[in-house]
Amino acid sequence: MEDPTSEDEGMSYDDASVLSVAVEDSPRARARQLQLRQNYRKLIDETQLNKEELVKPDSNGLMENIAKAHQLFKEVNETRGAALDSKFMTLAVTLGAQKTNLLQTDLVAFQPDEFIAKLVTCMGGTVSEEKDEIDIPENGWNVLGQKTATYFTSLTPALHPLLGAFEAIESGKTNRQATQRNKEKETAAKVQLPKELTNYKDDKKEATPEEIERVLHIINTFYKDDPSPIDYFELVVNPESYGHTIENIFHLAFLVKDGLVKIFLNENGLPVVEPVNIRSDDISPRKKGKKAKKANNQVIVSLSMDEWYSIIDAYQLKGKQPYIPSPGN
Amino acid sequence: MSSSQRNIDKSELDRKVNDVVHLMLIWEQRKIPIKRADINKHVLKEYRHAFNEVMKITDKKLQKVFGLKLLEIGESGKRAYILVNMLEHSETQQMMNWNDNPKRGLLFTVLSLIFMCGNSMTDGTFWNALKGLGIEKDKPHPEFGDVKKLITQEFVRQWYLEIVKLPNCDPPQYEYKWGLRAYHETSKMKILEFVTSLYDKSSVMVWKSQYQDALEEQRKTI
Repeated sequence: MEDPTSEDEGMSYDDASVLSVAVEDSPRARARQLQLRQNYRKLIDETQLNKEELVKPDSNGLMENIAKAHQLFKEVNETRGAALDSKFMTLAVTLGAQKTNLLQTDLVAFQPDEFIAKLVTCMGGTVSEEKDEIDIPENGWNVLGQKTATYFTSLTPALHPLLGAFEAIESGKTNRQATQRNKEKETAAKVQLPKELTNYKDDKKEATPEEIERVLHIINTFYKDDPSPIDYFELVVNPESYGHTIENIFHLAFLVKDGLVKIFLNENGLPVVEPVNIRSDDISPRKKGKKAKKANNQVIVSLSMDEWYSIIDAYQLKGKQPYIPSPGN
Repeated sequence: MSSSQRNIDKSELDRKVNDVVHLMLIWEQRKIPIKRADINKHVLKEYRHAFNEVMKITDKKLQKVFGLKLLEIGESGKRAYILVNMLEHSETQQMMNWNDNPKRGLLFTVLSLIFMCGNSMTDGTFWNALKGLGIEKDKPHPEFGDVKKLITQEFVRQWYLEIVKLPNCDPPQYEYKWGLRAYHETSKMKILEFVTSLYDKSSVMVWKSQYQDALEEQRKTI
């Protein structure tokens, strides 16, 4: 492999000498030129692909590629080949400039890779032997953020109003899972009205008064046959449909809110449901009065899919008909 | 200023000022610098002629009540306001539980890399270095998700980073630099202190060129 530097000094790229050479125009010559151009393209692509490696200060790759181009150029005798050579040289020059930038003449040179490796350690992570596996613990970035906080001259806290900003920069719509309660009712009601008028498709409706009526009716029917409190989960869980189970919880919530049923814990600590007799003497004649001797309690019920499965297992509801049949039955 | 401006009365002025203070504190959630047009649109509206007056008092209020300074940064055409903490930073700030620590860690890493590499890095070198942290440009990250978006869009929109397209490059190449906000929220000297302690070196002066750079910056700000 020739030494490119000495070669450069002896070589003279005299344009005139290139142009004055008689150009052989045979198929063989043209084929040779084609091959040269292909080699150039390959060289350019290779250089592009490996540019990260080539700009590293300790890599000789760039010089090697320039030497290769040098060799190719010796045989080039037409403009297309020369144009490709120019393209390569532009690329090489750009990379050369980057390489110079990365060249360090300091007391202690800064190498990004070294810095990064130290950061990994700082975060409590490890780098495996083969340098392929970088393992940063889950808390690693948090730790780094905490450590670097001192190096910021200004850390400004932002205001996060509890009920949201007066302008909607962040839309804080809470998730309308059936676990929410009374607050939702007004907005839900408003949403229902336009839906009822414009959309007659029943399956889209979530909590129309009819649905709630239906649930109430079912509860009253069961209670009439068997005047004992109904187990809450047996009542709401539909072993065929998680979604419908949540809907049932939702509907039941409205019934409780309106004072039509009550939910309490029985002697076993399990929640049970019982309809409230409107004509009972507990209830004052006022419409929205205190329903029972007990004060109003707010409870949030949440049911994840896993919990739903557990309940189906525990109560052995699989395959059984649900208390509240799905709509459309 | 239009000649048909109404003189803003004291109580209205107070209200507007309070609204702007409120707006700025909430805008800080996103860390995106706020423009004069935004303030006019959301708060001042018909009182935009009183902008300067309002902002002067807003600045005073922010300083006195929250210890935050209003800073206008940027060239004409690209000017915006940010909030800067006036209080002398102390140990307590480190003890506070910030909820965006991971992002801050990443940001600091990025700023350190860029500065230590001579104040700019090409995108190739940049992303190559980040690989060592388990960050791949086009792969979702367990902590940060779309890292490319975070760095090239969010950090840029927040003026922490500036990404410039290099001329005459095919395929296109980009240069990653500090954004204006970065200069106000940290300093080159601070970065040097961190790197020095990370490498367990005796003094910041072992980084000759970076130290000179940081000194120069210090002299300019004083």
